[in-house]
Amino acid sequence: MTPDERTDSELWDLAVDGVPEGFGALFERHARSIYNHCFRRTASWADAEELTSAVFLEAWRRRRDVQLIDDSARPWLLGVANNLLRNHRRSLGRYRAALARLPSPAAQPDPTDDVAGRLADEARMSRILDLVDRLPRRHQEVLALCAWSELAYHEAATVLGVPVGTVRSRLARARARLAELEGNPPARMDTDGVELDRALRKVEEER
Amino acid sequence: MTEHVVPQERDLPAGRLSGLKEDLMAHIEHDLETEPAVVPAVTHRRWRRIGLTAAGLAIGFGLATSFVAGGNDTAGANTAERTADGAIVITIREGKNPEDLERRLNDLGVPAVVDFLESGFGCDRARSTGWVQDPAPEALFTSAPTSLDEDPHYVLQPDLLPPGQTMALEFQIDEHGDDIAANYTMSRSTAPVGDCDPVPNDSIVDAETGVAGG
Repeated sequence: MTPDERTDSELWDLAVDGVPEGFGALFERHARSIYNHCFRRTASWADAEELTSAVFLEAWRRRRDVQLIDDSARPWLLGVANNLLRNHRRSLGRYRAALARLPSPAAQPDPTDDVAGRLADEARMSRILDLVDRLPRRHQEVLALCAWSELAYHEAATVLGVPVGTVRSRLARARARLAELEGNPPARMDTDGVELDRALRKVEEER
Repeated sequence: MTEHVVPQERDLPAGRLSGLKEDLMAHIEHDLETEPAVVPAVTHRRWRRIGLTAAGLAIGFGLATSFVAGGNDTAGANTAERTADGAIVITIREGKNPEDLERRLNDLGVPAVVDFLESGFGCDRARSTGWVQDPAPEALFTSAPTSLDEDPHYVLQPDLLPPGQTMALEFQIDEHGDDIAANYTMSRSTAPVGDCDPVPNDSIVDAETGVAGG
């Protein structure tokens, strides 16, 4: 059995037992999700990349505290990201200092990457965050976890340490407030704000 | 609404996934190499606990995590300050006078007891019969992201502490010159708690090398 075929729980047990390969497999499995979550909170692909590393570094340090949900480490990792994102500039500073003792890898030139597309992503996400930043932080977090990173309510509740009902109410309030900020009356949405949710989750099809 | 459509998810740039993994694995290997293989023997001379539990308080078990930072202001006192959103930010600047920090938390309405110990030691669990076994809410007590040139600080959300429970905060603290490193264990209990009897544990705090964990 290769590490990739094992469950998150099995891989995490390996990591706790001091087998780094288990944690490496978890990184490969969940890095993309964490990377995109961090981007949606920072509007910076560069910061998202560093934060992804910081999340896994912190997760390694706290590997004995992990709470897998439905045998998935992803919610807990998003929770770690959530904590780091509360002050991501300082988080990055701490992470850089922690890695400063190690030799830096050579920079990876990336001529094939869609640089223009990434710049457009950042501009678009910045505009979205200009709006979302006007919400209370707890509402921003629920929006990012549930609407953007598609955590289930019970997963987000565990991550945030609040009841499921609180997650639902915060999400509904976030959506209603966003609708107001955009000039759309909340009455256009159902009680869960489904219309706005669909719009926020819809990918950029025209690109 | 088109203006607020979230961009499509992307992979990490080519080669960066493996690059980041190499960084991470190198750090993990470094961590494993520097973890002490043997827990130092218990001696009361190594125990620097200064504060003491207030009689009759109940504390609990639930969450342990770790954090390290180097500080440049070890002359300052430890602080606990309430923020506008109701959270309490605790900053560790020195490895002494935990009773002051405990009193400050109590004044802020948080039933908490605070003990300072050295690396490799924790309080004997027998000091309470009422440890709360359920996992604590993730946000109840967290180490705040901090750069290495800042003192360690933590965020406590008092509203997440259920009535009737008291927090027991054990900090392992190490100071080296102007540097300070801290590791903590947060516990909760619904029963009275006795004095802290230090026993070996797997906490690792070394301000000189910048290592903390456990």
